[in-house]
Amino acid sequence: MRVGDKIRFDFSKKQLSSMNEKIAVLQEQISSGTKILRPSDDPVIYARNVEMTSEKDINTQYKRNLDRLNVFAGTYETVFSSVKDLLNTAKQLAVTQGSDQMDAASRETAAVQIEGIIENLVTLGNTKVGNAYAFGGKRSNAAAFVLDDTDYSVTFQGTDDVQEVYVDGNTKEKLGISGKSAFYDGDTASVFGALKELRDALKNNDGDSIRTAIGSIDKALDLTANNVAYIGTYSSTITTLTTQNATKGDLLTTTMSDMVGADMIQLVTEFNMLSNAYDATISCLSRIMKMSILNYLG
Amino acid sequence: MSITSILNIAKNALSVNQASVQVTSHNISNVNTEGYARQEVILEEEAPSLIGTAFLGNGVRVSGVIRYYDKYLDQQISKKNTELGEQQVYKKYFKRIESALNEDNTKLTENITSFFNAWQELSTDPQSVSAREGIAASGQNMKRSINSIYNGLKDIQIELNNNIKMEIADINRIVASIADLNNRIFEGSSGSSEANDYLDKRTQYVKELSGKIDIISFEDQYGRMSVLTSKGKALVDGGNSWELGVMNDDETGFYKVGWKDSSGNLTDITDDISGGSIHGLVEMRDGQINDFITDIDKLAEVIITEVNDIHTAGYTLNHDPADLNADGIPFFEEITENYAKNIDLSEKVKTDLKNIAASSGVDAAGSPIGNDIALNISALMDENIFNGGTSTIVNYTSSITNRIGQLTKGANDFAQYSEDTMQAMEKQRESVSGVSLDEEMANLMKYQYAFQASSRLFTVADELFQSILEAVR
Repeated sequence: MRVGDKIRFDFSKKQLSSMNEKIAVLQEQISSGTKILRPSDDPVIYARNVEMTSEKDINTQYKRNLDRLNVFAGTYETVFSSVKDLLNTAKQLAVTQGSDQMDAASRETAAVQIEGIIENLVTLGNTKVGNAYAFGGKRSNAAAFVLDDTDYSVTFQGTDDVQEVYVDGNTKEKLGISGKSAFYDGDTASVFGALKELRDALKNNDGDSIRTAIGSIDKALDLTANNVAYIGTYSSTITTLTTQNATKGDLLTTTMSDMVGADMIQLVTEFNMLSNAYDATISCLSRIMKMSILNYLG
Repeated sequence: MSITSILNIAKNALSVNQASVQVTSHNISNVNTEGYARQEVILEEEAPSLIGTAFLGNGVRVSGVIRYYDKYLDQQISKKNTELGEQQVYKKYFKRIESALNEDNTKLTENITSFFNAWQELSTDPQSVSAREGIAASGQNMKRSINSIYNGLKDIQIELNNNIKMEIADINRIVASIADLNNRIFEGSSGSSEANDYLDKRTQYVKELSGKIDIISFEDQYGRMSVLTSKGKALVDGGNSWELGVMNDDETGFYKVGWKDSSGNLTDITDDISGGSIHGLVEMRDGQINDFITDIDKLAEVIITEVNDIHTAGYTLNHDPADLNADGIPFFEEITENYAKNIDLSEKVKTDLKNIAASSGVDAAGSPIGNDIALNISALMDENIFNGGTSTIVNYTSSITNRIGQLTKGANDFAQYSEDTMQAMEKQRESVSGVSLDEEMANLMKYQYAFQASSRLFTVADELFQSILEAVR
């Protein structure tokens, strides 16, 4: 086959241009650390990476949701610990004042102390986490408990059910517990009710009623103990979910890295090979140019 | 036979070798000219003279200048160029669309995810104003991503449309040039170097034209070329040419391709064009890019509709039993068309973030309670709300990415295949028509020596004359 001069140069030019293009892509891959730069590099992997990146972002959001649940759990632990302490103080007072040796003045003083405990408990029941009242249930924007300081009765103003948040795809977890389940045992008995019962008995200087109130306080302590146990389970669930979340996040990161991450050794090797081929092509072109009759003419 | 005959032979030989050197020089100077076919002077003996009983030769003369070319190969190259022209348009524009849809540039899925994550954030603290700020900000980012993709695709579509007009102007220039060359070839003497150059140029124009539109071409008995569209509309016939023009499509506002008859009336031939860059541009403009614009529009429409359906059922932080307009506020501006172009947060949401609803109920005091609305909107991320309830939002956006990836890869592969095939054919053509400087230099020396030898004939003839003149002196 005849080989014209134009074809020799055009061929070399195309080869050099093609190699330049490949070198540019390799440079981009090396500098970005990823082997998939655009959808056409590998449409399926690229699309999968888009999905997994989104999944990872959502997983990070679930982690933030779990962190918030954790804050609630920590708050509840502190609150219930304080509630328990206050109830124990109240019980001690009740036991002391339940003695027939106590007089009206002493019981009146104790009643004032119980009123203080009730006030403290209301304050604890109205604990806020950020903008939200922790015991308000779904009505988290207003105080959960309202104290009537004329008779020291306490009214719950929240809702029985609580808000939920997503902690994983299609899985929701309760955002805390309602004041109803934390401070009430059924519709009538409550922590506040027990303390009011004691406060009224002390005010009335009624020894029998004071002793009866001790039973109510015991029930309140049992309720609190149950709450502490519940929060323990709740915290444990959150910890498990957080661990699962972290595992999932790590798995996604690893999978994505395997899918689109650049193998530097391979890329640098390819780069060197192409670089050598480029030099060889230029050298070849230079030698072809010397193979001309023009070089032998005087 | 006389000494004068020797002088005549010498004169013709000088002239012939000079012509050969000229053609060789022409070849050398056109070594890099695209479409040039090397030429060669064809020599033949002069008719001999009968002297006595013998025929004596009368030297040499030029019988013509031929160009080396393979007519059928040139036709195949033109045909292949139609495919290449179309594939190059696909390659170029799919790459542009890919860039407009590339997640790394647009952050579309990332911003959509952030938007729905922001609703989750609100669900954990439904009273929070800062969480509402997060929703508004991520909503704006998502809107910008969608707008940017839409505008990018629309810009490409408009560019495609404008390029159709420019390609048609180019086609008109080429057909006029072919008609002009037809006249010159017809008027010129065939076999001359000049006519060969016109033939080269015409072949090159036909190749260029075939890259833009699918054509049929053939030569008449006088070597004039006729060019028709593949559906038979005349573009060139001898020295006459017919122009193409653009017509505005009333429905889309885009250009249609028209064939201009001798009275100047345009006939729509858009659908008759089935190859070349014009076909590629029309296909991309009306087909592929439109599909992607429709997909992005659908994405925006579903997001607007689904979010608004839930949001309008919620109670805002501005809930007031006495004010009926305080609730039922759409999160996105309610629109009925051009969703991707016009998607935006509603004015009420933009002016007061408290108009973002998170709750589906109110308490006795009239304050919103719960986080159902925020939860339900965030849950849209995992719901199959696309493709007839079979795909989630991310499935949908990733499938768009997958599709443009596949199309771009396919277009690159096809264009590469066409380029390689074309290169192989060009190589074949060059093996016949291409100039080899080594060959031409060898020829140059050959003709130079012949020229020098012919010059010696003058000296010999002169010496013969001198001898005779000396004898009679």
